[in-house]
Amino acid sequence: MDSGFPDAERPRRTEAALARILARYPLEHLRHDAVAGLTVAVMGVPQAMGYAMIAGLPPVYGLYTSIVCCIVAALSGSSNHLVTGPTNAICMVILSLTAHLPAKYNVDLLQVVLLLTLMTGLVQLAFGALRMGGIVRYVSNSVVVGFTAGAGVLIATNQLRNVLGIQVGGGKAERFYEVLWLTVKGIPDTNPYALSIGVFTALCVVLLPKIDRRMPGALVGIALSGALVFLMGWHGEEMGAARIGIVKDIGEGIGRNLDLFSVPHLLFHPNPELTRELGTGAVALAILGLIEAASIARAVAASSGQRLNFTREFVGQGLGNCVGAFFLNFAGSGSFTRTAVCFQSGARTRMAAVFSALWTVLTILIFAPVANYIPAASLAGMLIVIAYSMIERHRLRLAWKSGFNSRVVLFGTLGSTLVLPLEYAIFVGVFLSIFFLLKITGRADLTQLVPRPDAGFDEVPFDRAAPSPIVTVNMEGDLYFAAVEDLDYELQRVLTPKTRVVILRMKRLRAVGSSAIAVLEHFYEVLRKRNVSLVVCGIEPDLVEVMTSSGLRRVIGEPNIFYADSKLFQSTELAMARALSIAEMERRRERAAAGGAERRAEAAGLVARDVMTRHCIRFGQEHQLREAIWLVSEMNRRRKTAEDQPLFLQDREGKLAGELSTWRLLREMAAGKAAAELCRMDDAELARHMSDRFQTPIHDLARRDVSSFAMETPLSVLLRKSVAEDRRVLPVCDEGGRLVGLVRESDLLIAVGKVLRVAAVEQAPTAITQR
Amino acid sequence: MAENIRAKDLMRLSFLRLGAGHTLREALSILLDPQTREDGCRVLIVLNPDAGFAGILTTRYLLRALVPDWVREETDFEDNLAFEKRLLDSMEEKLEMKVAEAMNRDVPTATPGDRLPRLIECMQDKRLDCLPVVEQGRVVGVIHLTDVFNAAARLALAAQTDDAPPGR
Repeated sequence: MDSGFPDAERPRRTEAALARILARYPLEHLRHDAVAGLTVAVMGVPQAMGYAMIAGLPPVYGLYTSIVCCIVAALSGSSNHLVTGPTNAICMVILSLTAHLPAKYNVDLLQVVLLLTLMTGLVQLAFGALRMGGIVRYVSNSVVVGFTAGAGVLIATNQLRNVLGIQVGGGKAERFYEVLWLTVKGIPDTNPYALSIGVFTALCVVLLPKIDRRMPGALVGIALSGALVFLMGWHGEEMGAARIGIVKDIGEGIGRNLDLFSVPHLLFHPNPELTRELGTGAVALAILGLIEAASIARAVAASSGQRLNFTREFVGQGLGNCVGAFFLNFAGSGSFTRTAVCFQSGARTRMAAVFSALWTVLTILIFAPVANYIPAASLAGMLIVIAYSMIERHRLRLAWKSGFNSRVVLFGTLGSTLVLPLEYAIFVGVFLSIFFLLKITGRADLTQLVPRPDAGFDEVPFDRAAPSPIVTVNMEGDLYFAAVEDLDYELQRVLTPKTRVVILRMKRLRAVGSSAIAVLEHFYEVLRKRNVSLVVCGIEPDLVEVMTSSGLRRVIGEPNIFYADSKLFQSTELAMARALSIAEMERRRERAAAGGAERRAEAAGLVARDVMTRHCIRFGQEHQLREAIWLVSEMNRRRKTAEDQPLFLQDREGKLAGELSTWRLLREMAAGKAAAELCRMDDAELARHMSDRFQTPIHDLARRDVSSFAMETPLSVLLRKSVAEDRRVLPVCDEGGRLVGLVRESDLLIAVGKVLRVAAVEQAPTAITQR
Repeated sequence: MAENIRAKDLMRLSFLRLGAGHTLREALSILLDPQTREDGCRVLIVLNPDAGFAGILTTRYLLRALVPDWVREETDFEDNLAFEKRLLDSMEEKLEMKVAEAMNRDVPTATPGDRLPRLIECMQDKRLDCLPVVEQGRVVGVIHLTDVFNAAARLALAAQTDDAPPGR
C-alpha cells in the first residue's frame, strides 16, 4: 500500500495521521493551499447551496456538508486533491430516495437524510475494511458518464420549476417524465421575475468565465441577482404571486450558528421499517459515492502522478459521511468541478480541501444574513447550467465510439436513470459494467494455429482453420471462473469428424487455476469419448504444479505434455510433431482395421500420397549446425523411435531446399578427424571437439540436389527410385514445391506388404525372440 | 566428466532376431507388426542355426531384394498399371526368398567397449542404420543410428552450454 502523502509511510490510524499531517505540514505549502482553498470555496459555496436544493433540503445543509464531510474525508482519504462534499448526482439520488419518506413515516426529512448518510458512510467503511478498493477498477467510466448525464437531465428537469417560479405538487413526482409533465403544465403560471433572475444567473455562470477564466460566474451571478431582488423588493410578501422565493423561505434559513453536532434522532428512535427501506438506497449511494470519488481522484492522480490507495479512499469517504451524519451533513462524495479547480489553483496538499472548508465557515460567519436573500431561482439557474455541463457530450461521444459494450453500459445506465428509481440505475450501471468486464476479461481468447510449411505457425481466428486431423488451439488471456463454461463449449466447436488430435497451447494463458484444470479435464474426457488425442504445450511452471497435484498430468500422459521452453524451438513444434505421429498411427490403425476386401481395392494404384508419412522434420536453411543437431536430437527424444530421419531444409517460401542426413550431421561432429585419433580424447575433450563446427551454416552442409516427388507418384516409381538411386527417404512435395511428407523405406515396405497381402505377424515365429 | 560413453551404454538389449533360413515374407511380416513399426525398428538381426551372428536384414536390404533387378533399367513405365502389376507379381515371388540371400553379411560390428568416435565412423562410412554389438561371436545388443546421433548430440550440445548462446 502506498501513502497518500508525498513521502510518508502509511499511517495506521486516522488520528495518528492527523497529528502527523499537522506536525509535518510544511509552511511553504500553506499559502498555495490557502489560495486554492479559497478558490474552491468561492466556487463551492453557491454549488453547496444549490445541491442542497437538489436534494430537497435547505441550502444551509449543503454548506455544512462542504465543511465537516470535506475535512474528514480530506484528512483520512488517499488523494491529495480530492475535494469531498455535496455533489449533484448524489443529491439527486438523495432526493429520489427520501422525498416520499417523511410523509410515509411521519418523520422529518432532515432526520431521514441523516440516517441515510450514516448508513451510507457505514457501507463505505465496510467496503474499505473489506479492502475492496480494487473493485472500483471493475466499474467502467461509462457508468459514471452515463449516470452523471442522466442525473444532469433529472436535475435540469427538477430545477426548471424553480427557474420558472412555479409550484409543482411537492416531492410526489419521482420520475422525471412526471416532473417534466407537471412543469410543462405549470408553464402558464410562470413567474417572469423568477425567470429573469434564473436566466440572468445562468448567463453570468456561462458568460463571465469566458471573459476571464478566473471570474467566479456563479458567485457573481448569485450575488448580483440577490442584490437586485433585495433592492427591488421582489422577495416581499406584497409581490403576491409574483414574489420570488429566497433561501430564507426554504427551511430555517442560514444562521451564524455553527454548533452543528447533533445525533441523528432516528438513532434514538429507531424505525426498523424505515431503515430497511433505506438499506438498498444506502448501498447504492455508497457505491455511487465511491465510484465518483475514486474516478475523480484517479483522474487527478493521472495529472499529479500520485499513487492512490483506493481502499484508503473508501475509508476516507466512509468516515466523511459517518462523521458528517452527526454534524447535519447529507451524504457527500468527491466533486469533480471543485477537485479540478483545487488542483488547477495550485493545491499542494490535502490541506487545500481543509482550507476550502474553513473558508466556507468564514463565509457563513460573515455572510449568513445576506445569504438568506439569495433567490432560489438564481440557484436554480446556476444548477441548470451545471446540469447541462453534466451531460458531457464529448465523453458520451467517446464512450459511444469505444464499442458495443461501452455503448450498452453508457446508455443502459443513462436510460435507467430516467426510468428507474435512481438507486437502481446505479446498480444497473455497475451490473452492466461488471457483466461486460467479465465477458471480456473472463474470456480466454482462442485462436487456432495452422502450421506453415516453413515450420512456423499462422494464427487464424478461432474455428476458421480448415478441417484437419490436427487442431491446434492457442489459448490466451485470463481464465476466470466465469469463462469456464463458455470455454468448454468453445473448445468443443473446433472438433470435426476429421479431428484426430487436438493441441492446446496454453503458454499465453494467465490466471490459470482450478477452473482451467476443470476445463482441461472435461475437455480431455470429451476428446477421449470421441477417440481424439490431446496434446498440450507451452505449459508454464505454475501450471505444471497444478496439473501435477490434480493428477491431470498423469491422465494426459507425459509424452503428450510439452513444457514452455525458452529455447530456440517452442514446445508447440514438438507438440505438433507428436500430434502428427499420433495422427499417423491412428490413420494406419484405421486402415489396418479396414479389412481385406478394401485393402485389395486400395492396392491398385497406390501413390505417394497414400504411403507417405506426414511427419517430417522441416527447418529453415538459415540456421547453424548447432540448431540442426539440437532439433534432430530433440525430435528423436520426443518420438522415442529408433528410426532416424533426415532434416529437410526449406527456403523462405517453404520450398524444399535441401536435405541433411543424420550421417552428415555425425560427419560434421567428427570434424574430419579419424576415429583412432578421437578415441585418444576423453569425452569432455571429445565433446568440445565435436562442437567445433557448430557455427557452420547448415545451408553449406546440406545436399541441395534433392529430387522430390509429387503426391500422385505411383508406388512403382517410388520403389524404383528408392532402390535404383539408393535413396533412403523420398521427399514428397506439393505443387508449390513445399514438403508435405516423406516416403521412407519402411513406408514402402508397408505398402508392398499391404499390396501383396502379407499379414503382420500375429505371433512371433519360434526363431524370433525378443528379449 | 563421468566415464566415457561406450557401445554398451548405447545399445538396445531388445531387438528382433530371425533365422537365416526364414523367408522374406516372414521378415516383412515382422517388420509390419504395429509394435515394431511404432518402435521404428528397421533391422532384423539374422542368426545362424547355432545362434551365432550371421548378418543383418535392414529395410534397405529387404527392399533391394524384393525389387527385381530389371526394374532398375526400366524407364518407360510411369503410368502403366500393367507394369505395376508385373512388378508386384515379381515381388510376390521374391517373398519366398531366404533371408540368407538378402541379408547384409558384410556388416561391421561393435564390441561393448567401443568408444563413440568409432561408432560414429562405422555408421557414417557405410551409411549404416544400425550396428550389432557382438561379444564372443554372439549379438548382445543393437545400436541404432539415432542412438549414436543422440549420444553425440547430447555430448556436443552439453559442451556448448557454457559458451554464449548461438546467434540466431
